[in-house]
Amino acid sequence: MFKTLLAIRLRAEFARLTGAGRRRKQARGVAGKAGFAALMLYVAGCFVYLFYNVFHALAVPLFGAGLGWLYDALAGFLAAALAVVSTVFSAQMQLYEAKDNDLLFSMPISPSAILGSRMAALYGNCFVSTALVLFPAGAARWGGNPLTGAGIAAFVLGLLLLPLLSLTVACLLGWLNAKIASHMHRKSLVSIVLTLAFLAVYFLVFSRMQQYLQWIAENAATIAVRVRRSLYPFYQFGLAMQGDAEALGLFALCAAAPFAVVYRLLAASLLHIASAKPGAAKIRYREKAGRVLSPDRALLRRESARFFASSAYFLNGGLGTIFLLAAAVIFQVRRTMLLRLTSAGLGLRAFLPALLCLAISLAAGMNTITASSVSMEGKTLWLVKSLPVSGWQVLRSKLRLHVLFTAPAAALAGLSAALTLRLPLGETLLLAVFPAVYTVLTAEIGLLFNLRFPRLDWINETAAVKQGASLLLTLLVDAGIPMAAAGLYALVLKDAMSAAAWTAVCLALMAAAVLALRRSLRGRGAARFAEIC
Amino acid sequence: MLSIAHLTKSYGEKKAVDDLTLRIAPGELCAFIGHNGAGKTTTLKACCGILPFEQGEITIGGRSIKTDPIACKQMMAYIPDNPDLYEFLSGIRYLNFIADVYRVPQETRRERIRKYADLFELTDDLAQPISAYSHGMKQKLAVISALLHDPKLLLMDEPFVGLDPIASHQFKTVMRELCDRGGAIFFSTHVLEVAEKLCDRVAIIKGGRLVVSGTMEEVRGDASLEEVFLELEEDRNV
Repeated sequence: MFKTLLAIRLRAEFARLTGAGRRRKQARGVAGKAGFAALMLYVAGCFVYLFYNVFHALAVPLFGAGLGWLYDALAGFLAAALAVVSTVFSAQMQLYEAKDNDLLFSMPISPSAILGSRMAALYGNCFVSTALVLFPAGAARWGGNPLTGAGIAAFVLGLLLLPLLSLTVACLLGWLNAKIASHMHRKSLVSIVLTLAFLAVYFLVFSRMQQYLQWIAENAATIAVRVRRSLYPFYQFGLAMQGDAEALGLFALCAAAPFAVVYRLLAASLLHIASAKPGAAKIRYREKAGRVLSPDRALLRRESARFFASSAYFLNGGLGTIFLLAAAVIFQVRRTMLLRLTSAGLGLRAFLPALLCLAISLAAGMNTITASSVSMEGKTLWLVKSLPVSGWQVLRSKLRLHVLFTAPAAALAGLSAALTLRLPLGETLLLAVFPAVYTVLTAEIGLLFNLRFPRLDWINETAAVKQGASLLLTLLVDAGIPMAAAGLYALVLKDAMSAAAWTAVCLALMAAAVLALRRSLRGRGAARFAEIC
Repeated sequence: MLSIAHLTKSYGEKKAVDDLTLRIAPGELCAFIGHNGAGKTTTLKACCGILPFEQGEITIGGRSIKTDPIACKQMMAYIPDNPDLYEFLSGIRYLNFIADVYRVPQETRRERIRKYADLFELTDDLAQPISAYSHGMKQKLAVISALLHDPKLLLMDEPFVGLDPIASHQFKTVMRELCDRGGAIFFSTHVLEVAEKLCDRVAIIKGGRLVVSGTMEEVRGDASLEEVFLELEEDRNV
């Protein structure tokens, strides 16, 4: 039974990632599977490259200082941290908010088999994340400080045991997150705040990686003392990797014992967890006079309610706005750096408005709200189609949400840069208008693709906002347009006109494209929307 | 009120509805009966403009659903077999959204929400998100939203599924009242007793084709509706 449950769980995870299991006619073909495998390999390759470079920079100073164990302890800590971050939300969903509890508990299956299959799938998740750090870390030390035979045995055991430690922490954090979310009326807020906080930390660490590495190299002895005191399991892990058998035993104990306790607690309370419905406190309805809205405004409000209620939709469709707002702040905070860059005599001044338009447009193009807005209708598509509103009214509300959420942030980023650089009025206007028009264009492109490739049969909305041809094509085209314009200028038009003039030409072309696409959406787009069912 | 003429709708090679013709006059309550997959839902969806169709014509209040869909939809309401509503909204925000789209004035919508939410015992839950509703509560909300703009035509697919006995009883009374005010109702059901007791007319569909249509008395004669239906089904299997 355990094997069957595990196979189902893994198949579900695979389907969630790849979109397999859809209607047969839409199922991913061989080329699609190969493409997906290539994408996964590419992502894994990026991680491996990143961690190899990090540990390559650490290997010489740490091994040189005789702190080889600290090198491995840091690798273990980073691997565990990555595994926790990548597993915590899955643990929350699969252990505490599973949708198939009623079905499974009504069948002759023991709770331990149910829990075991879920934990095994989560362990697999942790294992992959751990391997993505430990393998490049192992390879980076290989040159000057190869692992001994005992070290290799410890590496293999560490690779198997470290995910247990991460899984234990992920289970506890998942439980905490589920508890908090269950008492909140706006559950998506927790996910949004946590994800944005994670992204902020990620970008901060990534941008200061060189400084951190240098700091670790310079303060290795102090860090070693702290790790020994505060991160005992990783200290033992580090020692174990040096071939210390006793340390390996202690590390195994540190990883397995907490896991066994958590597993036992979960096994004892699984039925209670599955049947408990803590929920948020009931909101009592009090009649009050609300605002009467026009159908168009009601549709826009519906779109925005859906967008802000779903953390997956918000984070995948609206991340560009977060970057744009961050850019607007950075342009002010790092004013000196920006000014120094432009006055460094690199000839940047003449290209500045064009370059800023390009950068801001690329960030605005990351917003893909419309590219999944039709798919997000899902099973509720019947509702809007049964209402006395035209297809164009529905599509327009989707465009409006995209533009209202993106264009002001894009214009703000442009104005912030223009103010910092004290650009003349004409260039300031260009920086405010260009990204806004580009936003309208990308909104229309996204909607056009989603009308052509809607995905309505999703069970989890993540499938609608993360996967599908419409999203991929929109992202490619959104990034491709500014890059193509920049490339065309650099290769062909550089001597014929100034960068500012070319930017103005691009603006005019974009405005024409916006009008043409709007016309197409109003006619053929609305007709296509009527056909979708 | 509702006129369906020679409606044909195919899914690929298969004809889901084949040359179906039916009329429902104002004040009539018509049950639509048929086995699973007979074409009931397809017909209802085509009537309310959700599903495009290849042949035939559907008019509501004399207006074509093909050429004047918005005017048609303004006159009617549809309740599907599975109340998939906007789970990201609360009950009251959903009702206000529907009222906004149908341009129901402030005072009228307040009165109707109060009336129907009290009737279906949903008032206390209106501030809750729809995602926290049970199937029955969603069905009640779908019913209330359908009644908000006082439709002239109500199209429903298995409307009693999920409703508790009290809500079912109240809803039957509301349906009758709507028809007494000159409205028309066309709904599918598998509960033949309900159809027999509640409806003026009945239409039976089989394999996409309308096999019987008429007043309840005409269709059942001296037999029960169940006997008539089973007899027709036996004919089909022969």
